[in-house]
Amino acid sequence: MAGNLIDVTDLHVTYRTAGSDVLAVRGLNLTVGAGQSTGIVGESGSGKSTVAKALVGLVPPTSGSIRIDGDLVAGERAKGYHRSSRWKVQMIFQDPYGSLDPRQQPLDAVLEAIQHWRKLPRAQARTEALDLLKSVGITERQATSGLRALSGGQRQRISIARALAPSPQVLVADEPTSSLDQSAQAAILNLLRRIQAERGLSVIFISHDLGLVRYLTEDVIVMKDGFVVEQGPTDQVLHHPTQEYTQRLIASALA
Amino acid sequence: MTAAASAMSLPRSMARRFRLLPGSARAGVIIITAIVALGLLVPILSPYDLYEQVGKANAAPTFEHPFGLDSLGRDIVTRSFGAVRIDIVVAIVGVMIPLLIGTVVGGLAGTTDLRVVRGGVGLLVDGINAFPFLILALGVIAVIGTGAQAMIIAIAFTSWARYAKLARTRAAVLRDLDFVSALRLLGYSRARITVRHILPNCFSETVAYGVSDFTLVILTVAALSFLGAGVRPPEPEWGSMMADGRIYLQSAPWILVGPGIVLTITAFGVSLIGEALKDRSRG
Repeated sequence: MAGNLIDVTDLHVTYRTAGSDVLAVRGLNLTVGAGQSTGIVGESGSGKSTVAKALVGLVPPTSGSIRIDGDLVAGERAKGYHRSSRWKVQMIFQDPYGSLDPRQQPLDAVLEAIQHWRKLPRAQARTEALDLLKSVGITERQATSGLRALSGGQRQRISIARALAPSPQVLVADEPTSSLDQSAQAAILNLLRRIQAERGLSVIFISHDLGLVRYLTEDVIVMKDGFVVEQGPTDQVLHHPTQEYTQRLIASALA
Repeated sequence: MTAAASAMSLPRSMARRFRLLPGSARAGVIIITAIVALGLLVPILSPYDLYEQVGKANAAPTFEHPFGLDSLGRDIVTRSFGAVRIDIVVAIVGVMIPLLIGTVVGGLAGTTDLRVVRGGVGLLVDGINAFPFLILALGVIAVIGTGAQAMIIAIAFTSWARYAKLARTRAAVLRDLDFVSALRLLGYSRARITVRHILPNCFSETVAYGVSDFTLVILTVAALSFLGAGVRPPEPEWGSMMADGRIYLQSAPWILVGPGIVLTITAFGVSLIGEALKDRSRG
């Protein structure tokens, strides 16, 4: 379909290990339009993070195809991500402490990304980097201090700013709040919602928390053991689940 | 080269962090600054020459010669501080060369996907580290000859492997962190990620150890000269001065004590700084 930003067809991912093969994703279809958000929920080991990694190109699919904005980035005869497509999809990781270069100042991290994608005079790039950081709630003082002094929530904001630097169309967020405390969690969710609206971003939001998925997404995919259990508009799936597994997931979330 | 640039920015960042250093490290910085200043000033301001006889051989300490005179009647205070230049320069170069080589080799070995390279470097590094440091350095000197340059080469040849081991471990941890994935998604090349992100992080680990190795290198320089394999006389050097003094240990112990005191104070100052940096790198 031409109108879709993300088009995933029959995605399979298998991890080959010494002992046995792990079938992490077994047949996932997904379409996401521009500015839409989709949640992927499931327990640990359901394959949801593997979907995220396959989408951004960190894990090669065993079969199936992934198209981003019409570019075939994974699948048969795929070229993979190239400079013409690489900027389109960025990712936010779960661990804010591992997702930033421990030696790099926040400002430099964002500045480097901006300068990599656009040839700007340094002063102008710096202003843009500071503006971008400010838009996610990081002050100039925080941006020019060492990472050591920053909290998990602040680090996650910096990761978001860096991911936004190439002006992507799709943001894949893999449990971006699960290692944060309650108040930081809420702040990051609101931030994601705001930038999604402001920038017309498509967001793939991966979480084990149904409440967060409901808050942030229009569509949802429920995964278990690599299979898609249920898929559809978030309200419908969460209010009228047709599958027993989804019902159990909802019940345990309410408990 | 970025790796070199990063190592060179160290003094600047150290100056910036001076005030944040724990008291012991600040004391270390002050001690080393004082030693270096005295090393530069004493030979110039001293009324006595570094190489000329100024009195009776093995003369005991007096007010004019607080550390006494050596077996050739030279002033020991002047020579002990005159030795600062050569000893500290050899130690700095003797730390920096192996630190650079070891960190780059280890960092690349820890990052590469080529198993042959990883295994080969690992074998070499573990092999060199398995040898006693001084024995291996002596072996190298036996092949290439004595003198300050030979000593630096011998020290570099043996101690790069320690930094390589540290850097390899650090790089192997770093390459699996999410930030490397994040940078790949931003379209940075593998070379860029390695040179600009992984190696600088390896350096912050090895530099901390390098500063404390500084003491080891100073002592090695002294030990090699003591064994006659280092700096040649009449050049003032703590190890060779002490070697010279050991013959007169009973009749003129001050010959050994003077350079020993300056060496000990220097080593103490450096290790104070090194410990603080190690604590810092452990976070």
